[in-house]
Amino acid sequence: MSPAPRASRPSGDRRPLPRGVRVLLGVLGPLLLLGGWQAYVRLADVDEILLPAPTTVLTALHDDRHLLWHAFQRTAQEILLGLAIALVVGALLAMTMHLSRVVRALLGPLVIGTQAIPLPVLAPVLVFWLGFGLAPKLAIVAIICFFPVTIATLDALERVDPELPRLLRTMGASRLQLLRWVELPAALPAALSGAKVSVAIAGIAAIFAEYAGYEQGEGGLGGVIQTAQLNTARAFAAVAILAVFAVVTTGALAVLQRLAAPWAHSGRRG
Amino acid sequence: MSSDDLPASGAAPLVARSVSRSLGALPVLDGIDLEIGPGEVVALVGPSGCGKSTLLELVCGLQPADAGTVTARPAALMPQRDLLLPWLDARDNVALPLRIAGTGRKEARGRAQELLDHVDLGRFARSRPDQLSGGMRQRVAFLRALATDRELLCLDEPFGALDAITREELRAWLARLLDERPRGVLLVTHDVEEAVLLGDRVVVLSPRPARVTGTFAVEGARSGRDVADPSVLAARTAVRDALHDAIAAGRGGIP
Ligand SMILES: Nc1ncnc2c1ncn2[C@@H]1O[C@H](COP(=O)(O)OP(=O)(O)OP(=O)(O)O)[C@@H](O)[C@H]1O
Ligand SMILES: [Mg+2]
Repeated sequence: MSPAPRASRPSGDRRPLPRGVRVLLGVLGPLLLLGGWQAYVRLADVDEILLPAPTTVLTALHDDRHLLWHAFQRTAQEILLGLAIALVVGALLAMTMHLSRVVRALLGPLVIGTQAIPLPVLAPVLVFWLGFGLAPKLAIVAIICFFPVTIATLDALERVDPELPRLLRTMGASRLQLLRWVELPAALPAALSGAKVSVAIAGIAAIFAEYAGYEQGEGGLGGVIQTAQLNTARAFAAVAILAVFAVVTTGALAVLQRLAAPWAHSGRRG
Repeated sequence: MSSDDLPASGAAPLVARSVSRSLGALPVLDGIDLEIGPGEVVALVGPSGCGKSTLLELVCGLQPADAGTVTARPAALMPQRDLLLPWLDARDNVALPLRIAGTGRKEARGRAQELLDHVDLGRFARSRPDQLSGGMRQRVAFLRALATDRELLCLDEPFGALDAITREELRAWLARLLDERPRGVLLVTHDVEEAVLLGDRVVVLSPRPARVTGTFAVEGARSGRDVADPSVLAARTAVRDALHDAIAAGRGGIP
């Protein structure tokens, strides 16, 4: 008897892994990297001023916890507020560009142009304008982060089925009502997706902003890195905190997206 | 455009005179004459791609006529694709035209829930379109068109995606509904039987560019009609013959 033919499976397996397995693998990946790193530093006898071993970084995390915690609070504030500004401004910008062809033609090149400005050039100028405090840091994070939000939102607005506004017009919908019933709901999940893309670069932007507008005692994680000098382990500890924060923030945005726009995720067709 | 010149209330919900329309270089409608009296149901049958949906769009004011005039009361459109809003649940989709007309959320939802209960979809009021089957979505889209009390309904293949039983049930339900609360209806369908069971008149269109090749009256009250009624049978045969002739003439006409 010949074996029953197996149901053929599409080449990419799209079924989600069980949650437990997913979390386990998500932890396993970094652990493997850290293990390899530790072995490399120890076996190759690398100078730890150049590249500290993970265990050395862990010690620094513990020893400098007060300093790092204080710095982290400052940087987290910059990242989260900067992202929030980027989300609102980016989405509003996309809406305006979508609604008006003139605005779109006027601002399109400008929006792309802002992304070509290297951070080290941008940061000092903004510090010069806005002074040392929180403002220039928020501005820098927002300027770097609004772009993915704007692009994702614009794209979602473009992809709205053109028949939908036509149907609503037969119901007598005003422009404002079209916005309320069609465009805003279409834009919301996309804007949040854009913000998710921005999280990692938000950290980099915040660090650069802190370098450029260094304040004694309020330099955030960027200040910690800048003043660590030969204490490389402390700088790496700051980087580790940033990385973990990026993962957590992205997760939080994903949850927010599910709550605010459930139609874009679950459902039978997933 | 249609909604610019409203006929007085009580007048015919739709009067179309020698309407022609081309999409680009493609002539789609060629001198269509069509009239729907108050409370009259006109079924529109024609070969696939002949221009039925285009005609409906003209009636709803979504496209202008190139020639001729369309005078129509504001119409509720049920499009061929359901076009439900993916971010609204079934109830809010049905309530949408009411909300747009200015009805409060609570009242609109209440009315929508009543309608859903009528077609056995009450349990699915809070489900989003992606959680509904194709047939359910079509029923929701159908209810959305009925939700507003417009004097003219434009239904584009309203029962196309339904199974035979549901189709029959909904057809009977629509027949009763229209007898209770008559409105002008322009019903596009591929199904000749459906056309003669629901229509007061059946209008047969030629292949593209669409012309009216025949109009057939069906006798008797809608809700009492049965497929086996002699008058219904006769109308069905006549419409089917006319449709075949139209298609054959269309083929012969192609060089
Ligand atoms: N935007 C467009 N541009 C050019 N041609 C179009 C456009 N939309 C439709 N057409 C053509 O116009 C013709 C009529 O289309 P329409 O959708 O009105 O036909 P229909 O009778 O509703 O067809 P069906 O029975 O398949 O629904 C079709 O042949 C189609 O190819
Ligand atoms: Mg059609």
